[in-house]
Parts: sequence; C-alpha cells; structure tokens
Amino acid sequence: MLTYTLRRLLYMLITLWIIVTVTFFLMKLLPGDPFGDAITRLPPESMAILKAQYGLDNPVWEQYLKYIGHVAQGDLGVSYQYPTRSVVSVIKTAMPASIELGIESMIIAIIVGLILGIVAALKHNKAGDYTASMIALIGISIPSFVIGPLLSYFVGVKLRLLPPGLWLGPEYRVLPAVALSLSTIAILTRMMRASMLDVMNQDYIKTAKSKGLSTANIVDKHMIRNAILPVVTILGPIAVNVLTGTLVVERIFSVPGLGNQFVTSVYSNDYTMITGLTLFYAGVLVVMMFFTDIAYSFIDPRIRLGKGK
Amino acid sequence: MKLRKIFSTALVISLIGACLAACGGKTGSGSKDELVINYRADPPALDVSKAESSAAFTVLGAISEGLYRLDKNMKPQPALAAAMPDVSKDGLTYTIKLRDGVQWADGTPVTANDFVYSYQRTLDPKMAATYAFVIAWIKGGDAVTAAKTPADVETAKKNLGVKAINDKTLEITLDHPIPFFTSMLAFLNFYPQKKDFVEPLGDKSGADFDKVIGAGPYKLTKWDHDQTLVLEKNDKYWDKANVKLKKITLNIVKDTTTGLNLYETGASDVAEIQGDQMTAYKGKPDLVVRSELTTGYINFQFKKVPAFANKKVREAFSMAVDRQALVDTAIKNGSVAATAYVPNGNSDGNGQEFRKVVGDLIPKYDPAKAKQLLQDGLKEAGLSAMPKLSIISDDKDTDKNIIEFLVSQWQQNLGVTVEANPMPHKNRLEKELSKQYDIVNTRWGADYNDPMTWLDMYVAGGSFNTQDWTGPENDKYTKLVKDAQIEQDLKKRSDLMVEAEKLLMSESAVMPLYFRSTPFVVNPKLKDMVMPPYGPDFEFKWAHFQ
Amino acid sequence: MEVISKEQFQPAQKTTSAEAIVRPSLNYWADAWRRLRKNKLAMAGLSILIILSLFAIFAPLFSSQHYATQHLKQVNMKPSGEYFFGTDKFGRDMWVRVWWGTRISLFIGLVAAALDLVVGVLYGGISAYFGGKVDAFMQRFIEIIYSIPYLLMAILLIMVLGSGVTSIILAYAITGWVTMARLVRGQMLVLKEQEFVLAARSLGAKPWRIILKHLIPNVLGVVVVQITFVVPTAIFVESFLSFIGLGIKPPLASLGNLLSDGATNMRYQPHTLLFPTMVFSLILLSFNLLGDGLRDALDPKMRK
Repeated sequence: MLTYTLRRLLYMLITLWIIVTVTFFLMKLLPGDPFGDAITRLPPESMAILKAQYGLDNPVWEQYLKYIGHVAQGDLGVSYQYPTRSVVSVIKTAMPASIELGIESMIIAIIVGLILGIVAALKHNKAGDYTASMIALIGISIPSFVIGPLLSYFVGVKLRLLPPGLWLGPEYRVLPAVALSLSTIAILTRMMRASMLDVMNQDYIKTAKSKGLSTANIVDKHMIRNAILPVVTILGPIAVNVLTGTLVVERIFSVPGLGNQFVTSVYSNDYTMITGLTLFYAGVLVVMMFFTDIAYSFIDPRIRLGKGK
Repeated sequence: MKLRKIFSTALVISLIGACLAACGGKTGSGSKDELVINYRADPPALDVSKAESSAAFTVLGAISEGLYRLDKNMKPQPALAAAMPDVSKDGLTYTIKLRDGVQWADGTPVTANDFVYSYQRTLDPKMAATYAFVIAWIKGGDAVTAAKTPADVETAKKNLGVKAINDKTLEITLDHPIPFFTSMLAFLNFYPQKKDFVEPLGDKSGADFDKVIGAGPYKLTKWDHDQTLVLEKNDKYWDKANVKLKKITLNIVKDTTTGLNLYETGASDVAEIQGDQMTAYKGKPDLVVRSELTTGYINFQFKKVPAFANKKVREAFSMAVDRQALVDTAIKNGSVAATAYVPNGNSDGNGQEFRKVVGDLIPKYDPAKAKQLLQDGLKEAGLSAMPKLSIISDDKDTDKNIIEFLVSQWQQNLGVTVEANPMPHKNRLEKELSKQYDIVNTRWGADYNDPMTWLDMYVAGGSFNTQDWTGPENDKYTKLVKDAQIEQDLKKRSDLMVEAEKLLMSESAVMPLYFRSTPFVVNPKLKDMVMPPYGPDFEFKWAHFQ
Repeated sequence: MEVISKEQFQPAQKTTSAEAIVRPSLNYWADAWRRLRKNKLAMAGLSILIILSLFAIFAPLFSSQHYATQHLKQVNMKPSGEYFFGTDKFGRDMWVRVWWGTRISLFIGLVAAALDLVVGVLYGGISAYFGGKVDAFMQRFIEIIYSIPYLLMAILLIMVLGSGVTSIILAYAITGWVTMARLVRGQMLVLKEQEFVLAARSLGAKPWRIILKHLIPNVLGVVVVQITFVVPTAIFVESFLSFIGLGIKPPLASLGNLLSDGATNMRYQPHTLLFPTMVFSLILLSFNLLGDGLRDALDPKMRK
C-alpha cells in the first residue's frame, strides 16, 4: 500500500512538472508581448524597463528555470491585466465562489442524478426509464451557454422568482448551481443506471428476494449501496466537468469565480493569468485523482495491492 | 434509511432556498441617494501614475480630482484650483493657485507639492507609465523618461518644469505651447498624489480599497475584486454640497445579456447594452447613447501589397463599403458611419467642432464606380488582378461582425476575395505595429480633445504610419502637421490641421469606417450623470435621482 | 427364455433435427445488428443521424443561397417560405447556414474521431502487444496526459495556432486519443488471455488468423462504441470554444458559433437560437442513444 501511494505520488509530481513545462512553452509561443496597449504609447526605453521587470529579456531557458523555481514555491507571477495583483492572490480571491458553486451544483447533481438513475434502473425499459434517461440526455445535449441565459431570462426576468445574476445572498446561488449541475446529472444518471442494472442481476439480490425481504429493503440495503461504489471512480471526470462548466456558468451569472476570471483572461490575453489558472486547475485535478485512486484502493480490496488489472 | 434522510434534508434545503429567493428583497435602488450600476470590468491598479484604462479613469475620477474638472460640456472648471490658470504670453508658463481648504479624504491638506510629486513619479522610467508622454509635455519631461541611472533620474526630476512656489501655488512650464493644456490638467494622470501615502505602498499602490486616497467627491469603501466596488460620499470634499449621492455600487457584470436582465428586474440603474437590445429600447427614455472620440478604421499595407500603393485601388476599396449598412447591421450600437478620420465631437483646438469645420470627406458608397476605379487603379499599377488578401482584426464579437461585413462587401461589390482573420487583440496589435498585414481592422481613441491626437499618427516615420504611406503627399502632410505643432495662432493652427486631414482623406491613406458609440440603459430618474466622450465612462460628481 | 426378436434390434431412428442449427448462423456484426435493430431508441438515433447528415450534405447543394451571401435589406427575418429558418443579422439564409454548420460540426467530430481512432488504436495496440516495460512506460505517459485538463490545453493551443477548423480538431485530438488508447489496450490484454484465443491457438490457428478473426473484431466493438461518444464530445468542445470566442473563422458557420450568436440574441431573434439548438441537440442526443444501443448490442455478455 505504501509503495503504491508513493508511486502514485511520484507520477503526480511528474505530471505536474510536465504541465508546467508545456504551459510555459506554449505561453512563450504566443505572439504579441504581454503588455497590451502600453506598447502603442510607451517609448522603447520604458518598454525595455518593463520587459526587464518581468524578466522577459533573459534567454528562454533561464526564464524557464526561474519559472519552475517560482512555481515550486507557489508563486505564479503577476497578472498582466491587474499589475498590482499576483496570480496567486487573484486565485485566492476568486476561489471561494467557485468552490461554493461547485459544491452546491454537485449536491444537486448527486441527489437528482442518483434518483433518476435508480428510477431508470428499477423501471428498466419502461416509461420511467425512458423519461429519466431523456431528462439526463437533455443535460448533455444543450450547451450550458444556451441553458444559462434561458434560465436567467425566464426565471429571473419573466417569473421574477430568483435574481438573474450576481453573487450576493443565498438566493443568488440557485440558478447558477442548477445550470452547472445539468451535465453532471446526465453523467451520474447514466452511471447509476448501468451500475444498478449490474447489481440487480447479482446472485445476492436473488438470495435476498428468496429470503422474503421487502422490495424497499432490497433496493435500499442491497442494491443502492452496492451500486453507488463504482460511481466513486468517475469523481475525477465529474470534477473536470464541473470545472469546465464554471467557465461558462460563472460568466453568464456574473459569479466572481475562477471560471469567470479564466474567460476574462482569455479575452484580455492575460497570459500569466491563463497559464497560472491552467496550472492551478491541473494541480487540483491531479491531486483529486490521486486521492480518488488512493481512496478507491481502500474501498475496493481488489486494487489494494496495485497489481494493475 | 440514510439515503432517505439525505433526500429529505435536500428537499428542505431547496424549499428554504426557494422561499429565501421569493422573499428576498431587491438590491436595486430603493432609496433616492444610492446608485447601483453594472460595470464591465474590474479596474486595474487605481494609481494616478499607472492609470490607463477607462475603468481606472472612471473610479479614480470619482475618488480624486485634478486642478480642473470637465463639466458636461467638456469645458474645464476650477476644482482643486481656485481659478483658471495665469498663462504667460508665450503660452509656456502656467501659474495656478490652489483653492483654500482643499484636503485629502484623510483630512490632510492638498498642497502644490502633491502635484510636483505626482508628475515626477509618473515620469520615472521605473513606473513605465503608459501616459507618461502627456506629462512629458512639461519642460524636461522627456529627459526624465529617458534617464538611464537612478542618479540621472533624480537630476532630471529636479530640472522638471514644475515648481511649488509655495503650498498654495503651482507653476508649470511647458516644453512647447499647448493650446488645450488647461483641459489636460483635468486629465487623470495630472491629478495630485499624496507622497507619504503612496510611497510606503510601493507597487501595491491602488491595489485595494484602503490603498488609494483622493481628494474627490467620493471615497472607495469596499472593493471585492471582480465583484463589487462601493463608493461613498466624501465628507472632506470641498464641494460636498453639490454631491447628492450617498453611495454608488458598481457591480462587475461582463455579460450584457445578464446585465440587461439585472436592469429590468430593478437590480441596477445603469447597464451597458448592445445590438438588438438597443433596437428593443429605441424610443424609450431609458436608452442613452454615449458617443465617443473613437474612430474605427481600416489600414492597407502599401509595401506588402503593392496594389495598395495605388490611390485608386484604395479609393475603390473605400467606396465599395456601405458604411451606413455597416453601422446598422454589423455594429448596431449607436455608432455612426464615419464621414472622415477625426470623429464627431472632437474640438478643432480653436473652440469649434473639427468635423463641422472640415465637413464630409468620405467618398460616397458607389459599387459601380468602385469597380471602375479598381480596374483603372490596377491598370495604373500594371497588375491584372488583386492578389489573395487577408484582413486581420481583434476577435471580439463586434470586430468579427465588421470584418464579416467588409469581406462580403468587397466580394459582392469588387469581386475581390479577402480572407477574414480574427485573432486575440495583442496578436493583432503586434502584427499591425510590425506591418505584417495586408489589411487591418483597427481603431484609435483620442488621448486628449484635439485633432493632433489623430493627425500626428501618419507623419513620415511615425510608429502608427504602419501602412507605409510615403511620397510627396506624405511629405506635404508631415509638413502641415509639424507646422501646426508649433503654430501659436489657434486659427492658423486649426487651418493647418484642416488641410492635413483633407490631404489624408483625398489620398485615402486610411479608410475610416465608423465613429464609435456605446449604448446604455439608464434609470430615467437618474439625472446629471455625465458620460464623457473620452477618458472615464461615467462622471458621477453631479449625479442624483429626481 | 424369452425370444429376442430381431425387430428389437432396429437401428434407432435418426433424429437429425436435434443437432440442427435452428437459428441462422450469424457472424459477430450481423448478430450485433440484429440486436441493435430491436433497440428502438438506438434505431431512432441512427435514423435521425442519417437524416441530418443527408440534410447537411444536400440542403446547401439544392439551395439558391450561399452561407456567406448577405442580404442587407432582409436582416433578421422570421422563418418563411423563402427562408425556412429565417435570416440572421446580415440577412444570410439561416437554413443554409444551419446545414453548413451541421456539416462543419460533423466534419470536426468525425475527423477528431478518426484521429482518435488511428492514434488510440495504434498506441493502445502497441502497448498491449509488446507488454512489459514498453507497456509500463507507455501507460505512465497516458496517465500523465489523462490528468491534464484538456479543455484548458485546447484553449492554450488555439491561442498559439490561431482559430480555425484545423486548430480545433488538433486541439481536441492532442488530448482526446488517451481514452481510446486505454480502452483498446485494456480490451486487448483481456482478449489475449481468453479461452477462445487459447482454443483457437490449440486448434492450430495461425497468429494472423487469431488477430484478424478474434482480436480485431472484438476490439472493434469497444472502438465503435467509443467513437459514438467522441464525435459528440468534439462537437461540444467546438461549441464551447465558439462561446469563448476561439471558434472557427467567419464567415463560415458551425453549430457552435450559430449557437453562441443565437444565445446572445435569443430574446429578440429567437429563431436564430431555436434551429441551431434543435439540430445540435438532436445530433448529440442521437449519438448518445446510438452509442448506448451499440454498447448493449456489442457487449458479448448480452448475447443469449
């Protein structure tokens, strides 16, 4: 177990290093200098000073080593669009909203997704199954940048039920969280349905039935509990899904989170912010996958020894 | 059982949420002295030296103040200064008395030294301030920005033509006479800075609500980055009697669709809109269009595409574009079709509107004539057809629409195929300045309200003469502009610039497309909030609810 | 003593019917097709896809309009007999643009899937075939690529490469092949050890026969199912990139840029959002239904 953990830890570090390297060199390949419109009004001497301040006058390999060193110390540089703010401080300010939104959408997605999945499996190939599956499929068939504005307009403006945007009180959380949860609901429903169907064919369910246990009891105690296990394995992909969803949803609902910041940085070509955020996202994902793997190896004895398949 | 518990808890939570939502109060302006507006971006540093974006100009303009403040007619009115400046006969020396009792928001007095410090700091090469070039109009300014060693910088700063004669009197000596300099003193980068506040902050100056200080009508009391800025009335302001709003909340909203939704639910009093949103508000009292001193134009690269060195070819391209249709369909934000290069509303430096003095200089939309001109031009240039062309542009929605429109017009009216090539702003800018383009869709906004901010761009060797306009006409143009720069007589100066623009347009050296505007919906009860045509987006000082 | 009559020693009647193969002999694909046909949802998906593809191919061909031609006097027209889907802000025929967009989006999806297929199958195949150290190394590499957030990488890549169809496909393919490679490798490893391979080998089947008749068809099932998920994902990624302004170059249309244009104008020009959304959702829905159906049909466990 210890060697397995250590090995995974090593891979994790290598992965992070590769991501840092790739993003660094991609950033170097980007045309244009990072200072934006200053270039149109500054004399060349001042541009030289500005470049020296950001270390852009050194050879690329030197910049690379420096960058690696800084990243290792948790320093992602200074944002070009906000010269007084470091990338890390921007991330720190924007993170709480994203985490909150992510968690809220996950809660909605898990509740709705699991229920739909269970219903679909129990009513296999009946109307209930088709309805649940279709609801789930809608979640992955319409992009969130279409659903988001529709929700904002109809629920926010037409019905006046909830605020159409901003991030102030608890009522402001509902629409973005719902919009963000749709595609996760879809993933979870399908996963849960398949997993339930699998479990329903197992011998121990037949045993339970022959023992005369009530259907509710079987579903609750035997089916759902066993069916939920494999769902843990897709936490990684779900996290990716939520994360990319925030890019769109946060912008549409004016949520001051990381996703909104990322899109703004793309629009304003803030390269240090883009690479910094990419690194941060990648880091979070890699670490999450690491813990998912470790956790899963605890849950499932079959992989505990790390023997591959 | 556990699952059932989770489900029921969730149900309860969502019910509570829905109730909170239904019962939750609106954040919009209930009271008459609080203004809530959508704002499109979080401002970068709120630092007088570094300010370069309209976001920084807007917020700093509310927090602080210059010697003068532009009123709603863009005329400078004494602010921190007691009266209009005493200008020496040669137009070089400005002597300005400060108003009695003006103080910073912390209660300490504003002195003439705060201005001296501010100008020296902005010019310091370490700051690499974008607008250092306007401060460098002060005598000895260029010497500071060009200084190499810290010692040189210090010497150059001492020799700078700005002096505090005493705490209340400031004397500024210019390098050359600038007829509109009093208006410039209202420009943000000419605001004072409080040395013992700014210095200890280092490069964190203006990074947060407690890292900026001003002497203006409001003070910044809260700044949640990328979310909200709160301005509250400054009780230490000399003219506080005329400041009616108690509180201004700027919510950062980047999506105009959401922005309009917020406006329509009463959660905001001001929202920027675009396109069909504006069409829907036509004729309603809410719609306010801010026209800017910004021209969108096209440049053709004469060297990379030799055909463009021919005047008739350029004229043909310009004549083949229906500018009215462009602003009506592709841009759709209240912008108007360009009638020349210097936009509507720009002063001629002699008390009149430049555009009214010069008149309309753009060839009329005429596809048939354009086609003929292209044939003639190509024959003159000894070419049989136009080469394969591409147009580069920013990748924002409006710019993409513009180039889609242009490509279609040139295709349909001239039979010339041009490939649309949108790219990130920075890439476009770099390609433009390094002359790596066939055709570029670009724009320019006035730095100051004078035709010179437009006309000095295309002098021989100028860094914005990226189209490589050379030859006898350009020599003539360059001479006109240079003469105007040193001309003391305002009427003659204006005439020289009129001649220059006429030449620029008759040569079709640039192809202006539109004079930009931005449409807003504004609570009809909100009065006297000024939307200046350049610099800040909003001037809040006099804003109040009816 | 009882007489044993000769009659009692008659040969038993031949019961040929017991050994007869009643069901028609079906190969793997015919069998899968048979099962897929029974799945109504999957068949609906397949039919919709075929119909949409036909429209995407033929509708622009048979229209007098071109996707880039602007009619500035007829902007934002509602759907009518002349313009089935109305016109957009430049007066361009939405009918042609939607089907052109479908073409482009399907093209992006299919090419991305093809790249996925080639790279993924090769990589996974090689990894599984060589096994041992090569496999271990190649697996580590995959693990690393897998944990890179592909969408963010795609954004960075497009910023470097410039926007356009090629960039979008490349950006997707550069990280997209990993899932395919993993699936192929996993499947190959399992198959190598299966009894039927052992049986084939002990019956003297030559390696090429084993690969051709046993390994490839069985891997293909997984691959085909995976492709039905790759195509919609690539289409989805394209639409996302369009939303953040990194989509295809104008005046070309893709479902992604039609959608993001439509979303901004939905209140005032609902038809510019409605039609692209319908086509987009139908494509994604159909691919997913077909994929689910195929998975069931191709899964050997489901064979009865």
